[in-house]
Amino acid sequence: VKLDVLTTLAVIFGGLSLLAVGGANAVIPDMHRALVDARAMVSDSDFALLVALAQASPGPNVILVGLLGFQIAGVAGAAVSTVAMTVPSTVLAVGAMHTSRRLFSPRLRSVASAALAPITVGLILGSGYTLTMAAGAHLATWLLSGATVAFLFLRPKVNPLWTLGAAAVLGLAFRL
Amino acid sequence: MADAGADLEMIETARPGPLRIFVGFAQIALHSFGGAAPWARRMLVDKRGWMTEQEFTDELGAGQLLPGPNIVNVAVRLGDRMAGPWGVVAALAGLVGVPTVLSVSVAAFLMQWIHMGPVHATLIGMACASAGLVWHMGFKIGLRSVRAPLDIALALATFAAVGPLHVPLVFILAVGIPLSLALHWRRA
Repeated sequence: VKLDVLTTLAVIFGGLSLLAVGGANAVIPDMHRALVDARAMVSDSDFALLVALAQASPGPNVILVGLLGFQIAGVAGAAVSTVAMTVPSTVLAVGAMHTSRRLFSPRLRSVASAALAPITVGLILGSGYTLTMAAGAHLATWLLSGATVAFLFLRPKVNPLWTLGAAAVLGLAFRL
Repeated sequence: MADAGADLEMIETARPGPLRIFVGFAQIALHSFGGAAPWARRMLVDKRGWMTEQEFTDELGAGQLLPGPNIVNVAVRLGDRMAGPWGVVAALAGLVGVPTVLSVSVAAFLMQWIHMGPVHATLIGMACASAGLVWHMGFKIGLRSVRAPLDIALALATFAAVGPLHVPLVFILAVGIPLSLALHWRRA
């Protein structure tokens, strides 16, 4: 049973590794679909809590993958998921380095980055939507998410950790 | 003495081995809250001189064109250039391995309490804020690089598909990327 779970994690994250155009945050909806909707390996609110924990921890966003793997299958799950999420894209990135200067003309490069920008932005906003819904999908979660966005635009220099701390206090005060 | 120290530092930064690469990227990881790129720039360009400013910008741009976590792509390419395959392993272990071990340890401790009412309420509050951080990141990149009506339409369509409509990412990328490439190619 355990091996089955690990294999499933390896397949899911190995695939997402190659789809993660725009970084780890852009594939949050697909992680949610695969782990929560399709297989019920993680509950909706645990998913949201692990994302919160990943955001509050130091390190690149991809550590979310290790946390999800850990919640599903312990330390082995964390290791398998993290390796599966990083190795395929790493092989591609290192491989591309030896060819990219010859393969991509400057024009193709600039067209590609202009073309990917709107897709990436759409995917990241879709991740925000998925996360707000996973946190509870009622008025209070939308208000708190919205207030965070407003605050970050009004006070761009403030360390984003403060917003997590303030929201933690509000969550406790209003029994979210 | 100071000169000898400076010379040694120069020699070390000129050809960092896997151990120094591991330590360097672990430092970046442990300093970065809410996105690693600003810290990576500071450490790689300003403090260690492993890349020039221009190289960093180019590499981050290339990292964004490739699938996979952006800053991880920058790290593994740099690791490969500086120390070959072991440099790649060292960069991954430092940048991803170290913070993963740390956050998993915290999670292992926290998960016992997670279903207690007050703990749960606190974490849900944090979950809302972390959703807000992701929304904000999307809006911020959008305001900077998605300005033409065509781009706004593409971003909204992608958002609707991946968010409310639950379309699998594979389909979105398979349709969206060729469509966007074709539209931008004609305009370029």
